[in-house]
Amino acid sequence: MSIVIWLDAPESGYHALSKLDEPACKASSERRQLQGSGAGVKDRLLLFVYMGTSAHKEYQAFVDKVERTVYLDNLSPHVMVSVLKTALGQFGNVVNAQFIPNYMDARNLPQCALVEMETAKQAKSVVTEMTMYPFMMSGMPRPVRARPAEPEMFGDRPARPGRKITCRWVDSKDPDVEIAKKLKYLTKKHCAESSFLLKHQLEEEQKLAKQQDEFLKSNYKKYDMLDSVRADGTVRRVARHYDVIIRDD
Amino acid sequence: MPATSPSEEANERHDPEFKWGKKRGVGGPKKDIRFYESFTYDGIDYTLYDCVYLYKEGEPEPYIGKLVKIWEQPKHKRKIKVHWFFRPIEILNWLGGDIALEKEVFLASGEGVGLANINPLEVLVGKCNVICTSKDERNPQPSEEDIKTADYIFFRTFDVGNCTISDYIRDKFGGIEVEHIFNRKDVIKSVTTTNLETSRSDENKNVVVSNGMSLSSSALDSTVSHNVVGRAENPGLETDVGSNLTVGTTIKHEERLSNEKTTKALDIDANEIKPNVSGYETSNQEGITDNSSAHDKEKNEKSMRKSTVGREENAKASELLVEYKSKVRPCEESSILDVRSPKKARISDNSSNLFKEPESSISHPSALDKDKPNNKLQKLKVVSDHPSALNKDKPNNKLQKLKVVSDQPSALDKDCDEGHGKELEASLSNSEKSKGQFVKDSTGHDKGPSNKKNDEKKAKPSENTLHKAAPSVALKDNKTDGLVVEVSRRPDADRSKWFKGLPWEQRLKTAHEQGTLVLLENLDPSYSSSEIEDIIWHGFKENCTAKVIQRTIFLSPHCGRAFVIFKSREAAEMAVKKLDQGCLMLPNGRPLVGSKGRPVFPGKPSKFAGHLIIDKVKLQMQREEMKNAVSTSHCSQPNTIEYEMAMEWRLLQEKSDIWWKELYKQQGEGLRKLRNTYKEYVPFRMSFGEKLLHPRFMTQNECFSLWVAFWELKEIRDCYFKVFRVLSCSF
Repeated sequence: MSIVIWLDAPESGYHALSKLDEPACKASSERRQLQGSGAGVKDRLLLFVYMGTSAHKEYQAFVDKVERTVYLDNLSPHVMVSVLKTALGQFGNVVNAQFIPNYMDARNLPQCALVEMETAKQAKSVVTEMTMYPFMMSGMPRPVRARPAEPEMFGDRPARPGRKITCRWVDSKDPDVEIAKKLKYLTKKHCAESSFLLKHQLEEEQKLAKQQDEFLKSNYKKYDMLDSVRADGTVRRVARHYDVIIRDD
Repeated sequence: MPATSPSEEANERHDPEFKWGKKRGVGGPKKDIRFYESFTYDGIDYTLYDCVYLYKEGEPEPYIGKLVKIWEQPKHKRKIKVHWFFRPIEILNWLGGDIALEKEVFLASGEGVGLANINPLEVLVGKCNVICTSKDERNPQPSEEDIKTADYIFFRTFDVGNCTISDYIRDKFGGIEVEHIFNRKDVIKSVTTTNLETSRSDENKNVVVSNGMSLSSSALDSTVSHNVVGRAENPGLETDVGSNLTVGTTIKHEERLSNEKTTKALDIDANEIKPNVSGYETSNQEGITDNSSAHDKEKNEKSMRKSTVGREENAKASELLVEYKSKVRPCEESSILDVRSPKKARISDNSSNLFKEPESSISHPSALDKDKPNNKLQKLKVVSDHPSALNKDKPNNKLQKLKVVSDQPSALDKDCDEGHGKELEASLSNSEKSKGQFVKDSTGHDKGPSNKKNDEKKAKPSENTLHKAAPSVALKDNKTDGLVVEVSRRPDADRSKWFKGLPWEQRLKTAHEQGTLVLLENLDPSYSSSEIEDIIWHGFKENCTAKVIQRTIFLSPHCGRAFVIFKSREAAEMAVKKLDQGCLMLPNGRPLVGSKGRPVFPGKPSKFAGHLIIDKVKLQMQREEMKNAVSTSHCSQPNTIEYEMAMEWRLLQEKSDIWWKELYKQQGEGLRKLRNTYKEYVPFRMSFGEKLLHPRFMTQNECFSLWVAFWELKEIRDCYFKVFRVLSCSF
């Protein structure tokens, strides 16, 4: 990650620069020359501070990857990686597709997947298309939902460069312990809440599925009846009886 | 242990502690490769087909292998071919449900990488007593005693080619005859004799235990430096465990002496030294009397002389240490762990190198020179030339230490603040000290080399205990005075991996069955797996494999989770217990929550709610097209029933979205309210400008991005000069 700092007063900036470490200074002076060549930005100083270049590069690559990736959920468990690839192949080139495994919930949740497209633009178009039109994959009528992926969805994410993590064992006499305990409890409570909401959602889904199933069945029955009436000649007989001409089309 | 005669010494001037033994023959295209059957290195006799420890840089524990070939190439390049044993931890993934026995190792078999390697002889760090407990009739059966006293046992093999474990031992192993794999008849005998001492110590377990206790307590003692009990215990100990340990304990005295010197250098208590010096001398006397029964007197006198020289060296080292410390202190105020991080350790090494260079201008063995400086931390696992005796109580030491730390906080709590500094000094001074000794070793050829080496060797394990003790003490300290520890890369983060790991899911399953799996919650969602491993390392001093749980819509964005596989069940249980009772605080007011990991592996259901199929159509489809049909994906058109139903689903999805958002919002608010009451959690209470200037907040990158995002705000502009001041300080 690089930090860009714009300064209005270059003179004071040089001072500060001299206190920064060597590579940072170098980088910044380069930038300054660049800026100097372009007119109009003379009175500003651009400071570029690089932190851990290799880690930084790796993380940048990861961020780019996240941007190229689409998160899909409401996927049927029968969807395979190959299906995913062909399905999203309609929108662009699929670089990589993987499912997010679910080890946390014993219930059968719809699958989630991360699909990496070739460009960020393609990924964006996937999301908009799938939001505009319900997209069916390996079954109907429950549509797949697409969203831009987030860094937290990747299991192999690299460490964010430059971040310092601290940890400490809180003393048992410390008043913070009480709060910490509450926080711990809250974490567990939130977990339970999520679980409950998920249960509720699954129930709703089941309900809707059942309702639709019945609707579909009754509809199908209707069509089936129409068909059978037609097939066994009843229609023709009735038509003749009422002197109506029907055409076979 | 045979002493090297003066003439030989002259021959081997470049490497005093090495001597070839029985020759086997010559070979190679030019007949310039000489094969040997035995040799002496570091005062230890090695013979063909001995089991040995091999040191590898970066590994926390030495490798175990069997010498299957020993030879010397032109230009004194000494090579050994080693057939490997695997520790269960190395092949955990292929163990499946099998739980390896205590002390069990696996013999490499089959063909492929990891069966055997050719190594320079200098990587040897000691002998290892591996007993074959195979019921095979070709195998001379070991006695109960043998098994009890063995460092490791094996009866199963691990095929490196197809990664399987079997308990059948074939006739030949990568060119070794089977009789060399099984126990040797004479070895069994000699093992029992060498083990007599240990078995003695084993029988009086109490002795060993108290020994371990006092060792560790003396290690701690040297950090607190005023514990009389430990000192009083030491002489008694010597008589109990025998001559080997005597040397070890005298070294310990020496160490303490060096610590005392350090304290003197720090002007803490000058008077303290005198009694201690006398104590040291008396113990040395004792060492002599004890030693004389085992070794010849001459050597002991030399060792005595040497150790007096050592004292001077120590003084120097401690002086240097003080210098070094005065340099380090200002910038490393609170983070003791930093000092121990490998980089810093290297700095200390370097400083001692500088100190070393002028003195050791006499050409000293290049191999040693190469090995020693960076071995410092890892080579602590060095095994003495009497593997049974010291080896035996090494694990005990470890255990005891843990116990001491976890069960007797009162002893440690005494003066923690002082403890930090002193313990730091102690560990540093020890490393410096062993350096100093090494200098002597490489320069002072005239003094019985084997004995000296022996001494140094002994010093290492004891130094090891000190090092080991130190982090755990630090942990304790953290607990008691709530010191903030910065999580840096753990020292052995980049471990070499011989085999590619199994898929994570299988590892999860195995870990779950073995009880080594822990679920961590309330992590920052953006932490990466490696950062979590580092946190575990700093929090518990345990190595582990962690993997974050990928977030989906159903998982809270406030709380990151990860599965962590510990190396052992005990470690996992200890971690869960500690997290439950204590509180490991991570940045941004996140106490870590740990529980036993119970991953679920739901099978694939046949039905998916919302995918409707009309039964008759299904039958029809199966009959006709289904066989060569590819599952299709499409957008539905607005004039179909499918579209209508899809819209109903969309509605539900949107609804559920709102539920989740609302829930997460509520949860977020709840968390924030609570965190606001947490006094350490500074950022929420401060104004924006203050936040930017707060050093704790400054360490986080988020601050910078915030800063960049809001740079136009007047408030920020006003304080950007101040920011620069802080910036230049923090860089």
